[in-house]
Amino acid sequence: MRIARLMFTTMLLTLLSGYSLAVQAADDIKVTSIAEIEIVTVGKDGKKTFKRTPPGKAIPGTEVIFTNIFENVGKKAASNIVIDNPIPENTFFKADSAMGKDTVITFSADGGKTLGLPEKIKLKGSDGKLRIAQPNEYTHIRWTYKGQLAPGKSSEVSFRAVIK
Amino acid sequence: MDLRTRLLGVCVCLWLLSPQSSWAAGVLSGTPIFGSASVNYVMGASPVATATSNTISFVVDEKVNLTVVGGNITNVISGATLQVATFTVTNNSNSPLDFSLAINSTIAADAFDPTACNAYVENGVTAGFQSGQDTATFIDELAVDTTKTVYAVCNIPLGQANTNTGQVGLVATAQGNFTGVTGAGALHAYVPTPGTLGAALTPTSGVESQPNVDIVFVDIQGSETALDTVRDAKHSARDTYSVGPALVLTKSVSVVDPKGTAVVMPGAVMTYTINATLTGTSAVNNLTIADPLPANITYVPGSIQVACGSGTYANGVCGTGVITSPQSAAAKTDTNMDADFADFTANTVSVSLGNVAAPANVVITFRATIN
Repeated sequence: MRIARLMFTTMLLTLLSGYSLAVQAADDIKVTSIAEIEIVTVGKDGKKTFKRTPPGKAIPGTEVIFTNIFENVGKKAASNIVIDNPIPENTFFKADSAMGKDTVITFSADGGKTLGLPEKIKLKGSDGKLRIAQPNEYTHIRWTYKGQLAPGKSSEVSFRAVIK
Repeated sequence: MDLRTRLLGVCVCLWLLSPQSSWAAGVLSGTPIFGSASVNYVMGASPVATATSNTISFVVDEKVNLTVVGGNITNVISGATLQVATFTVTNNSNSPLDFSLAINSTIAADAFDPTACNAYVENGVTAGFQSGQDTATFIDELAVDTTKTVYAVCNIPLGQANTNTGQVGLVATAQGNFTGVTGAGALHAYVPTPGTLGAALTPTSGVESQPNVDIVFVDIQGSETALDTVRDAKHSARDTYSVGPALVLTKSVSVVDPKGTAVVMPGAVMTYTINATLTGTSAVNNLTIADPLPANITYVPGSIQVACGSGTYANGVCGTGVITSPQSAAAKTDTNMDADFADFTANTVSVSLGNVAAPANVVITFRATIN
């Protein structure tokens, strides 16, 4: 009985690892997304301390920090790295919150069809004329990494979105 | 000017707020938020490859928030019963909820405490408090971002002088049933309980594991600070009962002398205008406005006119107010418009308007010459 259970567990683990291998095998860049909220405490000296935690209490109005960590797990240097992140549904992008070292950050307000710098992103207004899109209307963010990422190296990009 | 007014009845005005634009309260609790990123890259001389991140998933938690609005003034008379003060309660939470209602009538900073108070919810059939219709004592299943009218119905103690005020506070508490209370699998989805007041809410201590919904109170403190604090699923506001007549009379005189200028001199014609405005929520019954003329002036026969301050006075309706204008049994010495509810006797102009329901604005004019 115990052996049978052990065998079953082993088989299951084998199957699972096989599955993940099949999905991950081709990826020389591993990208991990995390969501966090920032808890600010003000000390007696007036200094603010920022502590990040998983989004435990996430009510409308809560600002969530989305971070993508990308790591070169391959054997060669990676180039032309472009990270695309749709703004999660039911949230809106917080203006000026996109960060990323050594990246050019562009945005889209039309579901990722066209991307550009903030002042170049246009949307059709109710009067039919094109107008500059507001940050809370962005639908996608793109980070274009400048240069190469050597094997074993990682970097990260992030943005903040507010729950609608 | 001698005024005889008797206030025998008071009616109620209505304060219905239309619902605000939808989803001001935010995404409904329990809604999942998903996040993921993808990366395109080139490895050496290989073609462009794509990698996809894990998918972030968490649910939107329950934000409990509500707004009670008062600040209304109800004009009352001393000793009146079942006087209505009007409030609104808005559900600013991101799920439907029930709201229990409590009244604070023992507020220290006023001249009197209203008595025998009850709170009732407007049922939406007939505007204004209807004792036979508006019988619900809690708000049942108030949708997100919607507002209900709530009435505090109180008695006014006897012996209150004019201008005395008494305040009444309304405290609303968000309540509701959620699936499960704690532990794994407790999604905390809102469970409607039509016809039944939901359970008192408890904010989640700590953080529920995903995908459970935490219950978070975010309400501010209202007027009833002894009963309502911040983040307690309660909010409150106050209304005021004000004792005194709701009828305001103003009188003005214009003079035209025989030369056509406005010099007060013998032979000049004075036009008196009495403006009677019944405001707010009250009705007055058997209203007679009388103005004894001073010495040395002579009433111009047939000069009494009764009109509306705005709108047309016809069939007893002046603006939106109703005037019954009963005819007096006594013969009138002066007539106007139609029936003889105007009178000039004993050197006094008097007009019987009968029962007048607010809001009404009646203008009485008559002329007299200077001897």
